[in-house]
Amino acid sequence: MAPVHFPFRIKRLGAGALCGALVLAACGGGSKHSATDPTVTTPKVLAVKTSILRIGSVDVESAGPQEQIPTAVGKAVLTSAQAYIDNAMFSPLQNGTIGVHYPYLFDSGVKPAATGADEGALTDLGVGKVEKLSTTATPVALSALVGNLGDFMYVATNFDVVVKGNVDAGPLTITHHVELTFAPQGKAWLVTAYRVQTVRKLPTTTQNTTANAGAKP
Amino acid sequence: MNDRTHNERRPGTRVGRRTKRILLACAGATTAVVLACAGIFAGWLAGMHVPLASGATYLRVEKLAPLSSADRVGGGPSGLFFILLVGNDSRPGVGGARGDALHVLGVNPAKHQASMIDIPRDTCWNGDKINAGNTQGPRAQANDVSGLVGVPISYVVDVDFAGFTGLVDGIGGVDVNVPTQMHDTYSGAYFSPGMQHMNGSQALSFSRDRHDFPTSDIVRTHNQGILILDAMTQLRAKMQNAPGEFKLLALLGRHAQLDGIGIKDLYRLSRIAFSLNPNQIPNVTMPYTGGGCLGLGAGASSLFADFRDDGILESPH
Repeated sequence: MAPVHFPFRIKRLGAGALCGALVLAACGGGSKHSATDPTVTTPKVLAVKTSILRIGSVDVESAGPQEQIPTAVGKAVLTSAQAYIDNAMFSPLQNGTIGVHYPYLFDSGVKPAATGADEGALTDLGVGKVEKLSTTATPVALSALVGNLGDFMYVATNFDVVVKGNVDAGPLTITHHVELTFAPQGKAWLVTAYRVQTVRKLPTTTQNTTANAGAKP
Repeated sequence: MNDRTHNERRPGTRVGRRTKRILLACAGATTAVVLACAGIFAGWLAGMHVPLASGATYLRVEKLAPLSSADRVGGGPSGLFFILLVGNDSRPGVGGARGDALHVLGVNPAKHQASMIDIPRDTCWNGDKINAGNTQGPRAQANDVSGLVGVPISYVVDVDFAGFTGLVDGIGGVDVNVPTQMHDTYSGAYFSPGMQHMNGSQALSFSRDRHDFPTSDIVRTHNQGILILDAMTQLRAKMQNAPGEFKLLALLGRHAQLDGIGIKDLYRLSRIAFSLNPNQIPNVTMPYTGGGCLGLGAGASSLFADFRDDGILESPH
């Protein structure tokens, strides 16, 4: 077989193309994590370790006199909502375990479900440890119900929390739509009702798997 | 030395050709590997399952439910309960507050079902019309209806004319599916059949109209049931979050008289009640007989028995 002769220019082009392909391949392999790396998007509202929810809209519905939510009540409820995020979301994603304060956030009426049947929706325990966490949260909409005598019966918090990070399979995005309704018990405000919807998005390669898992009863 | 170097660099020599072939082979192999990897990577991105690439994460990912939700309230009744909804005729110039609209709602949280029985106001009870009970208060009315139907009524929501219109206006009116033409100067009900949006005053007229019907209060009672369930359907959409729930509860606190329950517990109760689909709640008017003071008609006893056991009307009535 006759030897193939490559002019110098073609050799240079070939070498360049090869290098380019290798670089592209290298970038492609790495892009599994880096192309959609959640750390690229700057956290808007709160950071993971120093996350502070802030109050957005406030709505007070009263069966009696019109009232404003006392600052102490708003602060207590917001602190409890933040404690929920820390214990139910961040702790599992960072340490692999639910925060120790989690059960104490709920009153006796919902605690069995919150620590049992609903735990999968309320917490991110099933996800495992996640790297490069970044978090955003919407302002907390506060709504309150005031009784005939001006007493605050319930204060509800509505907010969304989006957590991004990396798992072995690639970038993970978890969106929590959270409504926690608090009722006073002594000096504490405990969760007495909740509506939570959690959406977990994984890389496209694993979407089918997660969809099947979700279809299971 | 110079010659040898020169020879090695000449493309035509045997050593140079061999080097070139090796380089070409390496380049070709590398390109093939890169292209294959790129293809697999592209396929992986497009959703193709790549055994080696995805195998390690397959099990890890499987335990993640893509969508999960929880909706719960604590402290509410977990067992069967009955609520009496009363519309009384108290208004300026008319006292007494007779219970002209009487509807018993049975809710079975465990089975996630409910049913409603409409009691005609002219039904005889203890030698009088049953609506007279409300003149002694909501609890007395509940006791009478409880005795008639044979179910324990734990909670009563009682509204007068002003309370009813205030409630309906407070929720922005109601869309009611009017079953028949209405043209009644007494109540002021002028409606065509079909879905009609009503404000508080119009909804009151619709609920009071009995002169348009040969059976008078019987049809009126059933129409009241239609309005209640239509209103529940619309309220249910607004009751999917705390602000909507709090708004309705505050309205009830201002416009309704509650018995057996306060607003605080009504929140827990309403979350259970509004988790049910009103379109699946049967609305059955009690069978009656006679005129004037009505007696229990054929089938009334079996209707009550069906209602009594689990709050669900299973048989056709």
